[in-house]
Amino acid sequence: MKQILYILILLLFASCNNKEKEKPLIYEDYQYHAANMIAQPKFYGDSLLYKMTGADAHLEMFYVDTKKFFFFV
Amino acid sequence: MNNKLDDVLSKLAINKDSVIINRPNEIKLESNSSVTFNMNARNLKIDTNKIIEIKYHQATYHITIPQMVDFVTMKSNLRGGAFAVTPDGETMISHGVAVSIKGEKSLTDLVNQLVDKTKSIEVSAQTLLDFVTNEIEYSDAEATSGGETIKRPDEILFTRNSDCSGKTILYASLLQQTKAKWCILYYEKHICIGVAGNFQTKNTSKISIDGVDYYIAETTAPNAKIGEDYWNGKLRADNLLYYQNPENGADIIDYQTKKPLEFLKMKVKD
Repeated sequence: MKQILYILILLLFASCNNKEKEKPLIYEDYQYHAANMIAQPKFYGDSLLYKMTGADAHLEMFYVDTKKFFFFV
Repeated sequence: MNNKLDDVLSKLAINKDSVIINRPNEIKLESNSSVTFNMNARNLKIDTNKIIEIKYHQATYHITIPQMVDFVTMKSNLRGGAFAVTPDGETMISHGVAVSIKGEKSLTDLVNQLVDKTKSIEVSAQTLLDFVTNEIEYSDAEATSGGETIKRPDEILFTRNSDCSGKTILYASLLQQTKAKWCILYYEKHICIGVAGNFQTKNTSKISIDGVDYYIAETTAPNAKIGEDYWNGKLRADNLLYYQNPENGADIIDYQTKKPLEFLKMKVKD
């Protein structure tokens, strides 16, 4: 009986720990983080877009709510 | 212009067809006119394996997007409370939270390029200070912006400039990748690093904390030498307000009372 109780406690701890595990980031997460970084030249310089993508374009605006970029070339 | 736009879109967008291009009047469009376009962030073409390079005179900083994201999400930082309350009831920002953890890959690589591992900890610490004082420009704009700007180490390396806060964070982050023992020293409107070791200097500027002598490393003075005084004695122990030693966690300690400051507990509203 005691053993069953110990196993149950162990399983409970294991399930609690699993919930705390962070979800691995997916490509979409990296895209969104990259967009935010590109939109902050004060913190990453104004050539991060070129450094990340190789594209010679200029960012006009990035809307965080709609996640939409406005560029010009 | 069409060729240039094609080139840009092929590099920038996963799906070129979903990019909305604004061509006000194509017939009248001159060769040097700018074309605007918009697209969703989900269409942004990024290569998570790509190594981004920032070239410096002595070394090249290499970082990938996932490593940058680890800084943003604080996986690569020491963490802890961000805002501490001083005995006067004022709020101060912990600089330690932005300092990198040991073993952070992009900074380890940079440190490996800069220091000679066969040399002593003191020589390595000085080499890294030389990099921060000479290759990272002091930013007056940041220092006099009115608010406190806290940049993470990768951000300082990207922008190549910062004030005493950023330079201190970067230097601490580089020291983290060595075996050097260090602490952050907080003064009234100034911050610098203390490094433990045997430093032979003209003026021995140091602070004793828990029986360890930490020699002052001034990150804002070009060619500064560890242990030399660049502030006419203003950085002496009597003027030290607080310190932060990464070995003791995120606590900011009041130098006079030796008591840790309380951190503000922020609750996120639903």
